[in-house]
Amino acid sequence: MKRFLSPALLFLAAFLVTLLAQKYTFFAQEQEGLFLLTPDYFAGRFSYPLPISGILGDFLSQFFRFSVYAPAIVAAGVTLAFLLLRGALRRLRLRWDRLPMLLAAGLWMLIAFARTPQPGTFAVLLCAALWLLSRLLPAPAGRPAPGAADLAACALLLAAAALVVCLHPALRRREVLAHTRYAVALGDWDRVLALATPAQCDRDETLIPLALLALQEKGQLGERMFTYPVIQEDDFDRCDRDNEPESLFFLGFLYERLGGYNEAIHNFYQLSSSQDHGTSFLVLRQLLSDYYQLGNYTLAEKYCQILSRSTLHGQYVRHFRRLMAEGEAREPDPPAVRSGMPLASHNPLENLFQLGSVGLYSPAIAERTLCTLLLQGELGAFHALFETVYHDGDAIPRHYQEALLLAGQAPAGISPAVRQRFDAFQADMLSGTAELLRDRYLGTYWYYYLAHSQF
Amino acid sequence: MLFTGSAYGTFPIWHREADLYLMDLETGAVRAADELNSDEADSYHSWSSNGCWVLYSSRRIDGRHTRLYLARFDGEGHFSKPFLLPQKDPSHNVLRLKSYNVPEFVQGDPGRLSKEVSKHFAR
Repeated sequence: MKRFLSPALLFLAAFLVTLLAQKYTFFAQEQEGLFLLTPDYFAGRFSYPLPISGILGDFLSQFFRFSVYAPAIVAAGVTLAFLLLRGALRRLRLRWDRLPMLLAAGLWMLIAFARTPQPGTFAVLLCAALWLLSRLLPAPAGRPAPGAADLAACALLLAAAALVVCLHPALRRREVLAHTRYAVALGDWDRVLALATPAQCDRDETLIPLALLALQEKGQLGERMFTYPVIQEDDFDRCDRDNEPESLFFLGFLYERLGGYNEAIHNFYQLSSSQDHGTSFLVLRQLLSDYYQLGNYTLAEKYCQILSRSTLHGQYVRHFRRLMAEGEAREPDPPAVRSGMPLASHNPLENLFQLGSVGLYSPAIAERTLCTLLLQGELGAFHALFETVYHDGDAIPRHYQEALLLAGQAPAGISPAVRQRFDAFQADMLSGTAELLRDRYLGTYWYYYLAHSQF
Repeated sequence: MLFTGSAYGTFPIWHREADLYLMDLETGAVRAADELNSDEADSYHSWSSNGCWVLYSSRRIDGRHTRLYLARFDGEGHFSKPFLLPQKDPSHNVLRLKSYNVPEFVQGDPGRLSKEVSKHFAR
């Protein structure tokens, strides 16, 4: 039984650590991956180097959509590699477990750090080839069990690998980002805010627009926006970096939430151009869902057909086909149809006005517009719009109170505490140092206006 | 002469409003080639060497992926109704997630990989 101890330990460690520390990282690999039983997919794969490991990796990554499968597949892969290497090394009369364990731990690291499953599947296939080659050598007599020292060395190697996977800053950052993106795709805004805290956003600026999107969905932009490390308009709308994959992911979901489904489709489609296969499961799922929302069932059906060629989207496709069959009996929702217009502008305000002009005006669009004006330092325009959105008796969010005081306005509804703090801010402006202003006013609109604006 | 017109800028294949236009080189008269055009981008094109056929790219199926269309030209300024380039498996036009952007008619063997295609056209 002792000879099964090392592989059992390895499987257990890889499974548990991946489940605890990398579940969402592997889910992101599924989002960015693709496997379709189509000639087009296979022709594409065979036009790249190492097609077999690529296809195997793509096939396996489909299962990463379900939380327990990814850790199980990773654990099975490294354990299989260990067994193959141990078998091969035994033919070379190397009887220790620690050497194959060292290589298996290395493979685990490779899988943990890789962006796609392909390096891992290639390494396992390589181990299988070595094992097959080793069969040419004569088999050793008996099946020796590892000694206590050997097992201790294996345990030490596993502990080291587990620590790296759990604690490496780059892997932590990837997991938090992947988890946040997962929550965004689910529309779980509380979870987004729990993950993308101001401190976490300070460490990873790609989280900022996702956190602000969650604030928008919770109706808290005006209350909490400047508690996040926002230093420029682009942190809010990503318009200057709208060709980066992270920005396109954000913009797709942003316009989906605002009801601009055509713009969401445009951004998801642009996102596909940055992905390995020219598209991905995430993009295909979003295109299907957004075309359905637009009432364009012809194109939604096209993406149903494509997704039905993958292994694990049967239920997903049936769900949309059922919705479409039910939806054909009713008139499409007019604003959703109108939002089929393209938004050609790179100016976020222009895009928001266009959405409003086709009947998609909503509290979220109003808040986004007000916040964009704050970020641009357009206090006059902010005040004018504020007066049309907020009426006497409405509670005024904190940052709006700060901006109104800065603009020289003092409508009813500004709290005495904010007014008092503004008086102190004005006094500190005259006599305080930059450090003092930062210490006292970081997290207010005043500090943003003072420190980051070019106005 | 056939050319692509769009509202502004370059790369008309990215412009939804891009359409094909026909110019009579003797008179300079220009007309939209309405027989060929659709609501989506209609763009890159190529004439056959005898001037009887035009091959062009259009995004009319889904607005995203370019597919190839063929139309016959009667020499009098009129095109026939265009048809989608036939595929061995028609679902190819749905399942293929890449575009055919720059179609060209060629004379002779288009290459070892395209032998099957050329066999169909030789018939």
